Amino acid sequence: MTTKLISIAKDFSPFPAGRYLTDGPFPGEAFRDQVLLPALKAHSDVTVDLDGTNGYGSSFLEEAFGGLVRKGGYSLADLKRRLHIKSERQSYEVRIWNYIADAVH
Amino acid sequence: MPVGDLLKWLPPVLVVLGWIVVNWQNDKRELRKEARSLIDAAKKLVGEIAVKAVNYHVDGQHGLTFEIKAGLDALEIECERLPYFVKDSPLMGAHVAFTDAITGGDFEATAPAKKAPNSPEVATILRTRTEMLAELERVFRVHHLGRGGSRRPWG
Repeated sequence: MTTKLISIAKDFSPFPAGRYLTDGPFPGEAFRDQVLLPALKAHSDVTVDLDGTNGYGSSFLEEAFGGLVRKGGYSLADLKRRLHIKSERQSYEVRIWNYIADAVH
Repeated sequence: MPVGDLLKWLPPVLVVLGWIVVNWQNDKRELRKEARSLIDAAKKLVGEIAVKAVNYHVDGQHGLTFEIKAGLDALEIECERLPYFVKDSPLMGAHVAFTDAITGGDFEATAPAKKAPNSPEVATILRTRTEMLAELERVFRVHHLGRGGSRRPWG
């Protein structure tokens, strides 16, 4: 059982923005495919720290986390067990779980 | 204890009780004033963010992304000072819906599509803005005026 802590600001970019690779250098699709999915494949528990960036658009978060269901094939139950969200802003966690639940339905 | 002795203590007891009541009323009034100013500041931010969001989506002012995201963060920080902004609360729900309406879809895309003023996207921004404003007023009524549990200010 291994755990991985991902800081978006340190391990990806302090300036995450956009949804798709065509939207810029640090979109949600890139974070999901280059950082989040590999971490979930290699570790049993993954904590994502959202602090330290210049904020998140829903487009970024939806593609990064909702895309775990659409592109990664993960179930809501599996993600609930293995994925943990850390942020000073309470609403980010609410938003992320909403996107994952919406992607399931 | 003789009645005379009891009556001797009555004035100071009444003074202390009166002081407790006045102090409680003062605390309540100050809390209400503080909440009112927080809610007014949050409502101002909601209005400003909605205007920037419409300028972004309708007029194609794509340089506003940072200001919009910073504004939404500032709004959340303002709301967090209210004790009833907690997970699964209607106020948190309204804030999330407002944020999603503005920054969902193709927000921050390289070339986001310009939306018509009467498009569903703009209608959703304006609806969630109104719902956020109404929710801010509702929590003030419920928690500081002691009335109006309805989710609608006119309910």
